[in-house]
Amino acid sequence: MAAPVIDAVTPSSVTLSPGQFVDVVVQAHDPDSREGNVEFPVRDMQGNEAIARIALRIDDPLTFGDARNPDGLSVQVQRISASPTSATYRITAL
Amino acid sequence: MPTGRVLIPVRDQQSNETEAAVTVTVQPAEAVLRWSDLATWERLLGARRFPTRADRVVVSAGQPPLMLDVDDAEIGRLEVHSGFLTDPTRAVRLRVFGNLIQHHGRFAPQGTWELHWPAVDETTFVGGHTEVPLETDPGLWLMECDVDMAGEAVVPWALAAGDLVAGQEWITLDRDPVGWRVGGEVMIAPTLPVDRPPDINGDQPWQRAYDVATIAAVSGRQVRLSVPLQWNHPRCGPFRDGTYETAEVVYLSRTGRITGTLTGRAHVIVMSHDPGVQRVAIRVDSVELRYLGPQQLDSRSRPSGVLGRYGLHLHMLEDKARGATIRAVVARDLGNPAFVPHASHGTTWDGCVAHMVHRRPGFWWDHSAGVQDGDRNMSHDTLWVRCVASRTFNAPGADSRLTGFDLPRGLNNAAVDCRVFGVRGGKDTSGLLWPEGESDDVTRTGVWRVEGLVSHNNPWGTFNWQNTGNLHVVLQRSRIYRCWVGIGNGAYANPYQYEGFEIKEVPWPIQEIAVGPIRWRDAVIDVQGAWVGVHVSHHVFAPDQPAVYERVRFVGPLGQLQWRHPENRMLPPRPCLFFFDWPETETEFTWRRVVECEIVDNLWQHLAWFTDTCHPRCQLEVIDWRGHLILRRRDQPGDYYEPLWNASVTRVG
Repeated sequence: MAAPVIDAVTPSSVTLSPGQFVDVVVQAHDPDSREGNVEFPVRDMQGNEAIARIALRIDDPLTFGDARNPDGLSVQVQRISASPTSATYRITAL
Repeated sequence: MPTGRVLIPVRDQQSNETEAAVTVTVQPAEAVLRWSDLATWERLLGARRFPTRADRVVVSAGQPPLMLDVDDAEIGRLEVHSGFLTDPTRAVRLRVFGNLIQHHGRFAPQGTWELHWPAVDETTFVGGHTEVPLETDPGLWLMECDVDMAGEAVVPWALAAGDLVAGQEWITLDRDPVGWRVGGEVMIAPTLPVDRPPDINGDQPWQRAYDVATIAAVSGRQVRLSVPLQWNHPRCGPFRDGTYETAEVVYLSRTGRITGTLTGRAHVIVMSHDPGVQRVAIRVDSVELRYLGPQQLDSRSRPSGVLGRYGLHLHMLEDKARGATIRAVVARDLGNPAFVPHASHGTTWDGCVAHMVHRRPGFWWDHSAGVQDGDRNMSHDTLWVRCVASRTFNAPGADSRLTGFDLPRGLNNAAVDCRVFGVRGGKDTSGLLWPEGESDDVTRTGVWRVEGLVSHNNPWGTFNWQNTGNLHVVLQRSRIYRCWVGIGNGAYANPYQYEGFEIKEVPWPIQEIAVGPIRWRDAVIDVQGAWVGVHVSHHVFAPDQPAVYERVRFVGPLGQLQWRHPENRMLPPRPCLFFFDWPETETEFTWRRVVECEIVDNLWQHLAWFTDTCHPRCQLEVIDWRGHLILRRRDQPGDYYEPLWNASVTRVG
């Protein structure tokens, strides 16, 4: 099983003045996820057939942990929302 | 400057971990002039006292930025040439009794703040183009400066997770309500089915069944309202992919606010006429704009918006605006358009909400047609994405063609995944409008990308009134439901292609007006409950080619006769998909071709109805696995008479 893949960090570089904050969105996915279609044939009495499809995705929900602050940098980092594939962190310069 | 990397661990269920990195640089704290410090005012006023509403203060370019750090400040006029900040660690408020002007520098209130104009006299406004602030037009003037206004970040709107029922207090959302606070206000969109025609004076329940309440509690994706829902907000569906449309739940409050009063509306304008300024960096995030957009009485004594004084007006910034992002801004209770990128290019409006806008569109800029040097008004590379227009309305009996989203001239503009509902106005009032004269054949401007639109509970889902040779391919992934008319395509001639849309629970799904190489493709038109699927109000020109319906799935069954015709014309004695009715002019005949369409639910028996007095050249061609049929008026040549359609039918080939 492979480690999660970071798709995007937006923004990935910021400059803040004390008191300012920025919301950073991290998007990631599980590389072991698999996608496919489940297909159901639907027939009428004359044998005409149509295919009903359901798109299916199986993956591992991801956990976005507490951020580690770099030494010597006076910032506060809070996670303000998270879903299985993305999270938003607020970085505030103190 | 100190720089470091913030590392964010991301793990899967097996504890495999990776890290996302953000590089952060912290600038040294800059010297500021604190509002709370009497030394600031000794420097600016020449006296150790706080300013009053009678004071006019200038902070010159050489001074440090002014930081508002109190909650009871007031001032007469404030002109800042350095910078304007707010203390992000506390709630602050400034009452302004004239203009607040930022000249060059940076305007950056952030956190919890309010700029309030408590005493605007709308009769003094002059309006119109200007390159300098006008004392007569009180508001926020952002001149040649960078703009970085933000409140606490919010998710601007969500969808209800299912049906909402009157009496409910807890509602469940489809996403996390980030930033929604107890005491904040939410609005829930009307979704009641259309049960009677729209009435511009009556404002029918299906148009006005909003719920507005404050939030009493938030728990995960559940929100408890301070009062139970007054109205039902039923979902609509299923649509082609099996999903349903549910009511929009819109968060109306922000911690950053710019406000006038109900009877004294201020405005916000951003402009740059200094040729030395190459770009103004604009970011506005999660800000509330309320009671903006002043009005004055027009020649018919109707309240009318003052030209150029809007909710948020980017005024002729041209390429200097490129990169501007306006996100999750809510503009409400306005007397003029909410969001106006006028001759300002490369701007992105993401998740912005216009709610309760009187007599003007929520999203708009100045039209070019019929205006001297009108092309100067164009904006290019504009993106309206995930925006909401709600409750654009007018005085009873007033304006026609009111709309939520108005699409003027420009190049490479797009409205993507936007939503519009509750629009109320006169004839031809719509959720989204392609306005007259705004698709120009010479410059090829005015062709918008419109995708993922959801328009519901509006008199018209979308309305087009253009004569143009420009190809417009529109409405992919769009849904129109519970409107009085679904799509209206005028004016006299155009080549619009409506593709990939779905219409559901609409009494009059399609109204054709224009002729030309018009295509309706890969759509689902659910005519359930309607008496006529496709009708014509009138053609001005005789068509030289048919309107083509291609790979459209028509779903039924058609309904009982319960509606008057939108144009008050006669209706067929039988319900039908395609109606060919009485001509108003010599040239008026209707020609349609239906190619490889799915016509299910017994609709084949109701394919068409040709009145005995329709134009003799009216014609419907059907080409599919059954073969090729041509239907005409019953007295025209054909192989047989089909009483179900009152038509003469010819088999081809």
